[in-house]
Amino acid sequence: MFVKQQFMHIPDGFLSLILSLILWVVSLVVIFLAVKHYAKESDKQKLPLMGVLAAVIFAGQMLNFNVVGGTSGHLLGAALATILVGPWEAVLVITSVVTVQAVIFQDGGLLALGANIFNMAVIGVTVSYAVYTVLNKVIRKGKWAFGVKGFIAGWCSIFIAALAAALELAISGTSPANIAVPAMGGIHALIGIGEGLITLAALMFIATTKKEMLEQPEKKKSIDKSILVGGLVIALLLAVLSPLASAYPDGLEKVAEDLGFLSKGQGPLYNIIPDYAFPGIHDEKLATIAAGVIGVVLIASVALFTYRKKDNSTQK
Amino acid sequence: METENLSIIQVKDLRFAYPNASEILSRISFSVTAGEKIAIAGPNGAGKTTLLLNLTGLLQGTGEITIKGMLLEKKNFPEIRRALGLVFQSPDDQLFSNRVFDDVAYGLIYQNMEKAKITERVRKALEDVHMDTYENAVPFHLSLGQKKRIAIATVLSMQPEILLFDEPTMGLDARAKKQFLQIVQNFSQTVLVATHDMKLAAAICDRLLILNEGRLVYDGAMKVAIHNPELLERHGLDMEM
Amino acid sequence: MFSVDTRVKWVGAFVVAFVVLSIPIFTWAVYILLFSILVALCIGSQLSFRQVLKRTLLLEIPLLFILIPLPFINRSLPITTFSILGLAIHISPAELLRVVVLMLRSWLIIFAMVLFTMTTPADEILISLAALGLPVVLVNIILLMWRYLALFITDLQKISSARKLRSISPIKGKRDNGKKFIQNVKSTGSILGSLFVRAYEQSDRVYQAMLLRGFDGTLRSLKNEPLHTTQKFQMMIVLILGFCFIMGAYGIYGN
Repeated sequence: MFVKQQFMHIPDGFLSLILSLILWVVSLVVIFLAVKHYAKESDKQKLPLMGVLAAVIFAGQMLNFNVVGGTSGHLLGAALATILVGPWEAVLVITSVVTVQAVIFQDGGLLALGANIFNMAVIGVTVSYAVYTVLNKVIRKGKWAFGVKGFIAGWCSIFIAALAAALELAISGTSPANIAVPAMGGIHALIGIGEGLITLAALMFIATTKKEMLEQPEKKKSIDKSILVGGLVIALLLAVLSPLASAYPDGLEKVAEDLGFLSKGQGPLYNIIPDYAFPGIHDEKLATIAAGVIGVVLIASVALFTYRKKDNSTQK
Repeated sequence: METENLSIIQVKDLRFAYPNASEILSRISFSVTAGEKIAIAGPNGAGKTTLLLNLTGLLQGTGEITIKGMLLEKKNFPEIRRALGLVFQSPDDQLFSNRVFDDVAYGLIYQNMEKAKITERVRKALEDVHMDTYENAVPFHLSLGQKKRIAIATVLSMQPEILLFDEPTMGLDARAKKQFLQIVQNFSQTVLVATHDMKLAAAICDRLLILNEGRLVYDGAMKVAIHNPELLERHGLDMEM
Repeated sequence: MFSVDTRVKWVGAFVVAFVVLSIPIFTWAVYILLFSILVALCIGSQLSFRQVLKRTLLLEIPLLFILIPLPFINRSLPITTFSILGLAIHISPAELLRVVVLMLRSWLIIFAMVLFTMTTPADEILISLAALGLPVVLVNIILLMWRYLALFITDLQKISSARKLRSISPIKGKRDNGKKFIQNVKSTGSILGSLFVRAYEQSDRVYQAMLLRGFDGTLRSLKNEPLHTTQKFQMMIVLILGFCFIMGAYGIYGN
């Protein structure tokens, strides 16, 4: 029931180690800032609210409905969370969701988790916030206003996050930018419609049944300028960069090669490994065969040991 | 003045209303002597839950409430909340951890107690509600009756002198109700039970308060009230449950 | 595996991921060894290998979608061309091989993680996140989320089955597709919206329950048991093994 196809969750093995680590660091810094923000917050009720909201978003991701041509829409929830609890809190909420998906359900990798948090929690939330705040200046009143703002913020959050994921795949050399960007962008332009519509419908429902949920966060908060600017910059940068990268994939491939080169032996970690570290296994084929033999022996002996133990315990 | 010093709870002229809504509690006064077991009965929406929440300070109306001689105000909250434990109507609100042990230990951790002492208290509390083998269980997997008993344990572990119950038998089957009765009858603490289950109230308590539309309409012996079907019926109560 | 400390398992999972990602892509020997160790652990903890395999493969399906087009689109030489039903198909064997290895690499890591989660209760994994150094606030949110997730999923199932019973299926026909779609969006939105409203109220009461037990905004929990020597020893072995694998891989490949 929990296993779902989600292109946005990058698995391990698709991002280069260096990029994974860099994005882990970036995500951790943002999480750290969000935690600091909570510590300063006087309203401690936010803690249970964030936890319970994360549970709803997680549960909501299981609601599927068809968008167009067999693509099923599912929820990321970054826009909804941002609108309901504010940007810093939403970062923590989405991070929690993405982390549990990776750790418990292997939906997204372990080393790639930093990247996934970056795409969905950091980019998803900042872009939602920036778009929503800007739209707030333009559209103001009416029940539909919440919905329309939510739709646009939801769509943007998905689309931009997908572009980021595509660029990460391209930088890692997994898939060239001229394939990854249109593919990811195209699919998520559709999925984004689903996200936008669900966000819209959910917000309209809340606006009619419990309006104070939407009004409270807006009244209380002054606009967080750093996130607003950050979100706009990220959105513009990715919107401009990815078609560029797609048009000139060689440029990114160069980056990928450099990074790959780095991880293939130029990194400081590997300089300490002397060439003669393992005398006797210089021959690749020989090593492979040796590994095969060791593997078979290992599996066989463990199997034998386990089954014998099982036999003994059943005899008793 | 003498009697006031003896009473563990003293409520004077309590009024409460949510913003932009009509009064839910109006001019309520009563006092409770230590060790008393009191039922607060009344139809749905009479203000029973609101009254309990006012006693904990989670809701604050006007009037004066003193608990163990301390005025109920912000600076006394920590001490008062240690002396008085509320068992919520829905145990899902009260059991917010992923393991029974963590839930029962929660309040003690915030009292900065040592780990060994916490473990001892948690075990004792679970024993008191006959759930001593459930220390490592996941709350979500338990039945409603079991969850309710764990919820009681979360309060008992803090060793309060006053226990407040909000509709403790709501949704329970006959067996679970009986188990609850057995547990509560052993308590030596002061107990206030908000319920509309008069049978339960009569089995546990010897004093009855009846609330109706936010007013305290009866405060007297349980024995007298249960032999007065007209009184009960007037306030939406009866002994057939 | 069931009895191993969760923290040791974490180290193991990270080491597998780190090793696989840091070695050169065609180091077959290390893949084989890692695979053997994982299979051995799987058998040793008496898990059904078929079940583990099924779960790991299910998780691989989304990856296929990203990678399958690559050998056909990539123009890097050499290219083999063959035709099916008169359609000329260009395929790059080198790219195909690379894709297969990429899948294999990610599969190995998934295998390790599945092994981890199938031998550890979910709440224990989540609680152990704090031991990994994740901020306590975040761990608390995750734990609260986990606690109420099952509750909301049950709610969700109740609501949606109630809705299915109540709603009359619309008249079939092409014209109604649009209507049906809007209906669909509306009902999904209102289900989700009502869950949000419920969550809001639920969090209110949870907060009250926390306050009554002394919650003051700071987050406290009982200290973890310190690591035993055996556990430290186990971690060391895992780390050294991982280091050996990486060194070995470069030993093979470097020459």
